[in-house]
Amino acid sequence: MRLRELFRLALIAGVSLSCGDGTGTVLPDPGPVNLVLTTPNNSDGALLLDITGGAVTSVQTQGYELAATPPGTGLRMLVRGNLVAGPIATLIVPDRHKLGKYTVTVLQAAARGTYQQLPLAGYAVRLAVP
Amino acid sequence: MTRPPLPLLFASALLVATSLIGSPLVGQGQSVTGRLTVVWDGASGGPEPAIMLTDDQGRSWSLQADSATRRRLGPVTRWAGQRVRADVAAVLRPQGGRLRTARVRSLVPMAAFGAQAASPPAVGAVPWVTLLCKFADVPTYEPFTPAVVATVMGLTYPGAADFFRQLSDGVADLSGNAVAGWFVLPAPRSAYVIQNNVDFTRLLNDCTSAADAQVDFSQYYGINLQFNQALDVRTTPPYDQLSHGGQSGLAIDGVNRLFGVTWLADLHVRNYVVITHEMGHGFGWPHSSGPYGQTYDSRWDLMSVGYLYFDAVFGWLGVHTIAYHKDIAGWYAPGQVYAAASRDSVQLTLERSALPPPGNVRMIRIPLPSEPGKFYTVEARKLAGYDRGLPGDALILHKVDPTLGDRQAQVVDPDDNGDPNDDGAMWVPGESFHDVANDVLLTVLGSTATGYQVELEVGNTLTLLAGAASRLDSALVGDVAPRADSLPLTLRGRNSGATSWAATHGGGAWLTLSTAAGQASGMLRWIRDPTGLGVGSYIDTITVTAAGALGSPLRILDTLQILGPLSVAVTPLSHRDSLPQGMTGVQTDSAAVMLASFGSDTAKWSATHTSAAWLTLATANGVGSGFLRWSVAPAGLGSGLYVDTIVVTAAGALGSPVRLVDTLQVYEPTIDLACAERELMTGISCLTSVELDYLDATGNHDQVCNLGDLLAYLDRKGLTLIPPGLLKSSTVESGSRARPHPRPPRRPSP
Repeated sequence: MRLRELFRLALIAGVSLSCGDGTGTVLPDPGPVNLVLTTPNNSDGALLLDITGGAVTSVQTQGYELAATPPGTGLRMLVRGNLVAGPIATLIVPDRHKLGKYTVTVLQAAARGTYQQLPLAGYAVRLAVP
Repeated sequence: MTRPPLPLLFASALLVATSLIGSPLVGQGQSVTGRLTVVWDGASGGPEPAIMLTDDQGRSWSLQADSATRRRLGPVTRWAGQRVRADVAAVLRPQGGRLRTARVRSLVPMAAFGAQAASPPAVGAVPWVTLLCKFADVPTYEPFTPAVVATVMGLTYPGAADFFRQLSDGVADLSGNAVAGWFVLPAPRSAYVIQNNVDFTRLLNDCTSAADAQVDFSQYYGINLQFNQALDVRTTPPYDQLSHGGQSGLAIDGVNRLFGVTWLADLHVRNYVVITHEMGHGFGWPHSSGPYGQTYDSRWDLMSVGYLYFDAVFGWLGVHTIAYHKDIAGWYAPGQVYAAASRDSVQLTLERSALPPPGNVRMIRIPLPSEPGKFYTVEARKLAGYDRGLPGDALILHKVDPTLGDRQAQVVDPDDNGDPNDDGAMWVPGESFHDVANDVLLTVLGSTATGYQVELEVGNTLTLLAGAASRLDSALVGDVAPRADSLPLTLRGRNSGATSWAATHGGGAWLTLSTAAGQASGMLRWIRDPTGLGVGSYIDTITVTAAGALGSPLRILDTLQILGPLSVAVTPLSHRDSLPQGMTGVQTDSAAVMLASFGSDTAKWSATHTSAAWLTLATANGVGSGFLRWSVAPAGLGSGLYVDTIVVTAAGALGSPVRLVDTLQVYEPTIDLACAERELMTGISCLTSVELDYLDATGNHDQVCNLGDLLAYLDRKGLTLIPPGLLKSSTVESGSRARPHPRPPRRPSP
């Protein structure tokens, strides 16, 4: 973990240097990005998410069931399980420098047990580099 | 106008006439407005009058109509002298003439033009002026003198004034007849008679204009236009010269009214028959005839065959016109026409048409209930006065249809032998005319010196009627109680109160007549005894006889049905529906309830069912056979088999109660999970409405198929989502939003 941190710092420094001379090229940064859930409920049983703004190479969940449209320029995904706040899935994106362009929207949320549709106020999903 | 065939054949005129039909000059849709003139006895020999019109520009039009249009127009004489609009199908014009010929589709009366209605009563002083007019191309040709014409029109036998004085029994006074002329017309004959087409209105206008300085037309009822040459020629054998009569409106010498008008060829100047016949048209009379489609076949009327009596000095003389025409002219005083009621019985003396004594009836009018608007006329004709040319003394009947364009009155000739002038059409003492359909019975009781004694019965024929032609009764097998029945018998008409009736029947031992005879109207009564009769139908005929009555013998069919006990059945006895879980509509079903045998028509039935909430009875009772109806609603039911029993009860009926088992199979639709996931994520329709209903009905019940419903389905079935890569490819547009599936409109109840 320490080596990894150092590697990352070096990479950021390199980029900074490159930017500083005004002639260098920013290299893409492919890699994983976590989908981190913020929820006002503790009974979420499933979510329908819409990811737009950039390409997604693949998606996997961390302990939850997943269904998704084929990855591409964005995707939609169903996540099912006893969902709690925190990382719920990992996307592999082709360039993590462009995370700011991505938007993740919670389209529907359903409660465990009652299966009622839950109000979407208070839900948020952000992208975070692990 | 019919007259003996002439030796001359006007072949050239015929050839010219047949080439008259020119090419259309104006297309359809044109209309012409002007004043109508009606002229009878056209060259074609057809029965309908010619229709002439002087349009608002003073131009003459000859209006032609096909037979269908003629039938639609009815008697155009009612518009004579009035302002009309003619809707023109095509305009034709003979070559070289000013007379326009148009084929019309319709005639529409316009606002009143000041002329009085057609056929005003010819009562009192109704003089005619005869104008002698010469064509401009023969201005010196005067083939007869005014004195000759004055004699023909005069009050001395057989002058026209004398003739009509007798026909009208002194009501019409033509003693003021006058003659004026000669006058020269402004144009040659060829301008008025164009290829055998006569411009009647131009002749009238030009001749009266030429004479206007010398004649005060306001003093005359009619105008005879006597020309110094021929007019047109009949285009069929005997190709004879023609004269014409009719009616036209004129605004002249301070009056604006209808005038009787004749257009007389030079040849006819001394022809009393032609002149009086055409003047008859001037009085508004159409032709009359026999019933055989011919115009000039009745010797009972001046307005049909006119040449009936040959006077060695004066030539052919006409007979009287028929009573219907005299009535049109207003020549009968109140009381001289007996108008029969729809039910009538009368004896009266009908005086002869010619030279009748004062008083008494001259004409009987009998309405025809089976042909509304039509009627019979009855008149007495005897060889007297101008009627001495008749076929004989007799009572004559005409059937009158006032809506016809011509020949409104036609001789009643029951022998149908084509001759309306023989014995078949002549009713003499001892004979009766009987119209069964209209219940008219006319009997000639006797003859007087001047007429006939007749008895008329209308709606009064002795008639036997029953309240029904058949009766039907039924009894339960084994019954022994006698069953009484009755029917009113009606005897109406002459002597009905004194007429006896008697009844018999065909011999069925189960039927007994209890009232088998009577006098006048009464009740026929009988008894049916079902004792010992097995199941089946028993039929007998009751015959009622009343001597001399129409309708006798009268037969009544009586039927006794012996029936088994009442029974009830329902079909089918079981019913099954298979419906998807989650279906929100209802399924309607039915079964026939059949009641049979004794009392089945009036027996009541009702239905109940056990407590299933999913079944509702819609038609749960009835009288007689019918249908039981119910509905099933699977909403809220889980998958499985549901059974209820419907019980149909008919009190006292064999087979009651009847049980019908209704089964409802509620099944779970098979859901394609990949399809459901894809539809939820992409919004692209994949599931059926039944599947969407099912998912919501088994999910969160919020009327929309959404994520909660899918989650419920997965939980209930123990399924997991299909991971990425196993889903079939689909496209998601960047930025698009998946939406919950609104539930499709609820299906209507089946």
